[in-house]
Amino acid sequence: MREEVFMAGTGGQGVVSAGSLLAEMALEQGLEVCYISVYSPEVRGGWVTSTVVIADGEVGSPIVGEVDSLLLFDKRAADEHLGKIRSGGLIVANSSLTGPLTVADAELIEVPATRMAAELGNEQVTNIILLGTYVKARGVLQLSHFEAALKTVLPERHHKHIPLNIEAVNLGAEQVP
Amino acid sequence: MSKRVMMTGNEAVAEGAIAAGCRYFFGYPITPQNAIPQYMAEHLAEVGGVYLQAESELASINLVYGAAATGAYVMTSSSSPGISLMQEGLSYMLGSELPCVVVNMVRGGPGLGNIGAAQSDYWLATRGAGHGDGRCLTFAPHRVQEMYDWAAEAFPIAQKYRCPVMILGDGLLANMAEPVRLRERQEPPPRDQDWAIGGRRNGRPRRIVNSLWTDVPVMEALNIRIQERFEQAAENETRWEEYGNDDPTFVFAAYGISARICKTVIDRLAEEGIRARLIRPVSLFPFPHKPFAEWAQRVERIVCVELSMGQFVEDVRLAVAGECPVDLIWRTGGVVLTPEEVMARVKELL
Amino acid sequence: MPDAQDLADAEVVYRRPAALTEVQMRYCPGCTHGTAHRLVAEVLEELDLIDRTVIVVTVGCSVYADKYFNVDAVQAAHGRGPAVATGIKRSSPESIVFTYQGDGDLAAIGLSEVIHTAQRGESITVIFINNAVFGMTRGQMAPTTLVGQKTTTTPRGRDPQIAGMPMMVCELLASIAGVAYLARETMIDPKTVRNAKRSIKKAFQAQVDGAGFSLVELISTCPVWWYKRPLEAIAWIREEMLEQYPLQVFVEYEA
Repeated sequence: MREEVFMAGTGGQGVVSAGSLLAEMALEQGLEVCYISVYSPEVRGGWVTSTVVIADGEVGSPIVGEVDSLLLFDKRAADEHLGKIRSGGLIVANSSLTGPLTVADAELIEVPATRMAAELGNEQVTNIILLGTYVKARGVLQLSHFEAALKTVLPERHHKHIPLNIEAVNLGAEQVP
Repeated sequence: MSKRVMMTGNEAVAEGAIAAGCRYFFGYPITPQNAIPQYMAEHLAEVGGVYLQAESELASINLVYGAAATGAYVMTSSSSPGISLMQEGLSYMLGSELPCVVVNMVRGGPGLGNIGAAQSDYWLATRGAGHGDGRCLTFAPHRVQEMYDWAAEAFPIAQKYRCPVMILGDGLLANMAEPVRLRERQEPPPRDQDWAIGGRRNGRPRRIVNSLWTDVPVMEALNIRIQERFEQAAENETRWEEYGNDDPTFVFAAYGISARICKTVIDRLAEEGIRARLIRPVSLFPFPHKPFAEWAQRVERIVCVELSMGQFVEDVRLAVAGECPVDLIWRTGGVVLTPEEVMARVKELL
Repeated sequence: MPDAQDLADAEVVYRRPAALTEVQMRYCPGCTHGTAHRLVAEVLEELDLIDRTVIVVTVGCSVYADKYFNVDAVQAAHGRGPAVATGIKRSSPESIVFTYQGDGDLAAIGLSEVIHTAQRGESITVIFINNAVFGMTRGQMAPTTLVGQKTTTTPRGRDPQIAGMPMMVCELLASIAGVAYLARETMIDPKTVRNAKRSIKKAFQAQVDGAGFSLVELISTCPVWWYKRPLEAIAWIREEMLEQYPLQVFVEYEA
């Protein structure tokens, strides 16, 4: 099994932490994983991508061309990266910011995650909602590992936000048709 | 067994060095390896070590030279342009028979280049160490766990052969995170080398660390001694990995990040019924000639994959010695090959 | 001739310092390197530092100093002495570490290293030989060459329009907070030799006390590349060099 996940968005949207959480979840689940974030040179407001490759054996290439799953955080990311999806793959789009998308040969789940996060009381969990949708829809990782991964990734002083994040990831999972 | 933790290549090589007993680190900032000095600045203090930010890579390697002369485990790290600046110091360390560990997280070049992942310092790493007749022993991990493991292995190897050891990574291996299984941090070994300076305490005869030998036969003898150590290293420290089909029609040759790409390509080719194998040199100097010479007799071709314009392939061709065709697939300047691109290009060759 | 008994009874008032080896020095006639070596050696003996001292030998006429000083030695690349000394001191803090550098090594190729070593307040000592010329490489201009001075690369004399003004190393370092002791001395008569030794001793004492970086600049002769006889060279220091480089204690520390 080899699952290639690519996420793209703008700095501050949580693309890095979503990638990091996914990698920790894979580790919790006893899988092999390789994770890398790349961002444009500007320190604020530039583009950000996370690539997570999960495997049940050795992770080969950390570099991906076409990917199995694509998480698109905003319109710029969608315009740039929609074509990366492999035939039969999964796209999770933050429709609050991407607008409506059309895809020929892949499963598309549109989640108004920014609006939903605002309704939960914190737009910063947008990424967690998208993560929940991806995890549930793809079925490679189990949501039960989310809390442990969160505890590793989140600095101790932010652990008070754990319940909100769990609510967000479950809300995301519920969006899977 | 300890729990595995996610670490970047930069963090892993730094923690691996501390775990091996390295207590001295001198460096200068340069992307994409800044997390190494930052990690050392944070964590060496926990074990009573010394982190010092030098004013340049020239100073870094000479701080390393001074600490190495006292017999300490000492390390520096940089990326391509900084490694160019360190060549002088590496040559002096070879000439003075001093051990150290240098990490090079290679970026796109020449010149200031860019911070993309590249392998275009292959010649610098395997032929380099400045002027004169020597080189660094060079090892190229391809996973983050290996970064950690090699940081630990590199110090005793440097001490054994009394020369700089280079750990060669790239911008991707530096910054990608993978699970790493950590070991207990070791205390540094005693500095009981018979060449280590620091003052002739207890009345021992004085010691001189020196690379100036104006008596030319003495200088020649030093060179021969260094060469003999390299020959011993070739016998004891030559490492490679093989991966893929046991009855291949062709063999990939790749190291570091390129080898990772090839592994995925081999798996995908297998799904299409194409039989391929990988020879991945882990030691670049000493170079593993043997597997190439052997497979060259049995396969149609060897396909070299590297993120540089035909540097590594020269060593492969030397090892293959004309026994089969050797092709080259490359990208350079910080551009990385995707598995898809390698698939397409290798199919054109077959 | 005194007999053996006379010699046995005689008081030793002058001998080779224990910090120097028996090796015959290879400096030119009239060169003050030998005097500087001796002064450093006397200080190391008087402060009882011989068994913990490491000399960092640099590139220039003093490149063989490891043969002359009876202490551990490390040869450094051209200009890098203070960085090498820092590496030794940081990894072996109980050692007494000094560099011995000429004006080419310190003021040209190695200026960055010496400034940053001083800035960090490294507890090392620098003996800086300023004779206004590159000696070993055959008489080229140094940063410290005087205006109008003829060298093999300033055949018509140093022209400030082309090569700028002489580099004033002590004045440059005097503003740096990490410096504990800084002085410029010379060795052209008994009085200046005694003063030079006093400054060298204070510089090493600063290191023993962990007070910070110490440097003594010694205005030195190079009769060969000044195209002078030894006594003329001494006179030229008095009349020309000290005009450009006045003797002074720039920085002293409170013990």
